[in-house]
Amino acid sequence: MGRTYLPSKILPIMIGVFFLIIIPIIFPKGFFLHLAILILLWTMLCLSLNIIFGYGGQLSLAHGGLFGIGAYTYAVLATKMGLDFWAAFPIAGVISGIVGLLIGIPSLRLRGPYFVIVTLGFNIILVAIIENLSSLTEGVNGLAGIPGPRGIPWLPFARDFSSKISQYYLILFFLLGFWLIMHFLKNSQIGRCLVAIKKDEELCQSVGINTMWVKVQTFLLSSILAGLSGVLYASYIGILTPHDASFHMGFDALVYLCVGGIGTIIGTLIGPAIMILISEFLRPVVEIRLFINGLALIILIIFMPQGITGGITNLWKKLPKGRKIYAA
Amino acid sequence: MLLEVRNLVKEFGGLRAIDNLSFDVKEGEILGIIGPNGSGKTTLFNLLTGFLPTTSGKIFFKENLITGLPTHVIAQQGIGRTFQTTRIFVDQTVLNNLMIGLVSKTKHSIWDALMRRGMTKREEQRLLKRCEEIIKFVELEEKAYHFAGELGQEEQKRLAIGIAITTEPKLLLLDEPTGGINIEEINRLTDIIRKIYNKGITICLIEHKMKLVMELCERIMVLNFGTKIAEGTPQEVKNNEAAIKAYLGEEYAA
Repeated sequence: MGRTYLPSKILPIMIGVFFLIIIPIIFPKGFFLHLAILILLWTMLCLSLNIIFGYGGQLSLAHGGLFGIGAYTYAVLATKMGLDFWAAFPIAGVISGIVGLLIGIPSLRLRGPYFVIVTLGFNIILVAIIENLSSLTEGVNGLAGIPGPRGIPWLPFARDFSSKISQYYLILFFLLGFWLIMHFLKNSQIGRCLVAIKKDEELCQSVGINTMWVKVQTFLLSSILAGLSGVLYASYIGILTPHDASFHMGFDALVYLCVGGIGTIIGTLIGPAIMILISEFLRPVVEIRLFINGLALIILIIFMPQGITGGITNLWKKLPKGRKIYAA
Repeated sequence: MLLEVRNLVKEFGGLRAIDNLSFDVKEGEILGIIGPNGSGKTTLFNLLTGFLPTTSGKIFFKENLITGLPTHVIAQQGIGRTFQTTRIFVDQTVLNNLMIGLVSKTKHSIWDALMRRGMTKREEQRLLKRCEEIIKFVELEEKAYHFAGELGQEEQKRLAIGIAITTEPKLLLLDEPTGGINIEEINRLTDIIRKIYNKGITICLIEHKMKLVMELCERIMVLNFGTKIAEGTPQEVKNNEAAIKAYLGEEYAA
């Protein structure tokens, strides 16, 4: 039984992390590094969606909005109030958590498609608020000149964040933290709970599990992580428009997550990486780019409904079985 | 009295599924609830466990009013149940099914997850030990690591009972524990129900197999159109005119 909870794949994880660490050394500057940073940022948003959708089974379409709330909170604090990144970061986390609770508590009472529609509605409300609160957010014109994080003079490796490489490592640092949180969540009693709630919520209630409380907590954590990825996004990109808070962001994250593999940890990276790279490589054939992108997605979902991670895992599971039969 | 139901009413639109029903369940007994299809038996269970809100009336469990409480609170207070259609987590192992049943007794908040509490070796050992007891109790030792979906009908029914007793209920509501099971396999299930009864857990049993009800139950309540039409020992119910007319049929008339 113990084997289920052991971090069984230490070696592949080490190789993966090592690979992520050396990327800036292979591509020290320019466009590829920019793409790598974007991929990491999308991975963070996918990860937060994965917690509530992949593990909790609740498809939230409000995550674009929560991402945007985090981003805008940081942007407003930094540009209008001159707050430092390190002070604004936790504040933005708290605010996206509060907004997450305001969205989650009413909508988590609903199930299935009703939950999806209500969260989508909340996202549209959030965008409307951002567009109309122009004294703070500059409305549809968007906020420009959002500063990046300032260096911490007394901390080695963190003295300066002005270069792209240092930004990459900062974002990677947070992403590794997010992954760790996700790993802890997956291998915990609440993780066990979530798997069960996804399958049969009433059965869970009949054995005394407060399913609503479990879902609200999960949504809260997911909202905070979405907001924090928004902060990092805003501080890297430096410019925000209401589009960055729209449900399109949540949809994109959902598509990436489906490609990568819903409910998996590594899938949150694989999905954005593949989709963003494909989309960039197709830039020369701009007329049919979206067409090919869409076609690739359709083919993938038909042949690998559990995403790339799920598909590869299934192939892997089939392999040793075949050998055994052969040996016998 | 372990459970007291007073003037319970449940309306679905214009339909009265439970109509002014009052009854008691004594501590340590097996109460059989019988009646034709649509007489409100399962609705009654759903009301007792908080799955459905009552229209009016009161339910007392261990002298406390439990009407209006959420399902999980009622479960924590000591009412366990199984469902008419066997409900288990089919894509989990038998052991994991029971582990899920025990979750509410562990530290299971997000904070505990991030602090790595509730999954410590000692905690896991404790849970495993409890699960092993239950697995033994429902006689699924050989299937502990099988996926629940791979089990036979009757084994799944035993697992469902196993999940229901993980929370150590005082009162167990069994909704057709032998539904869809053929006569040969029933003995094992009745043995388990007897074992639960011998442990001192009070049982309410909905069942259509009359032989089993008459054997197991000390007291039987007959429902029809949501009202109690007869109540008493198996002998008394067998001789009750209304019960024979509504449900039992002439062959059971003594």
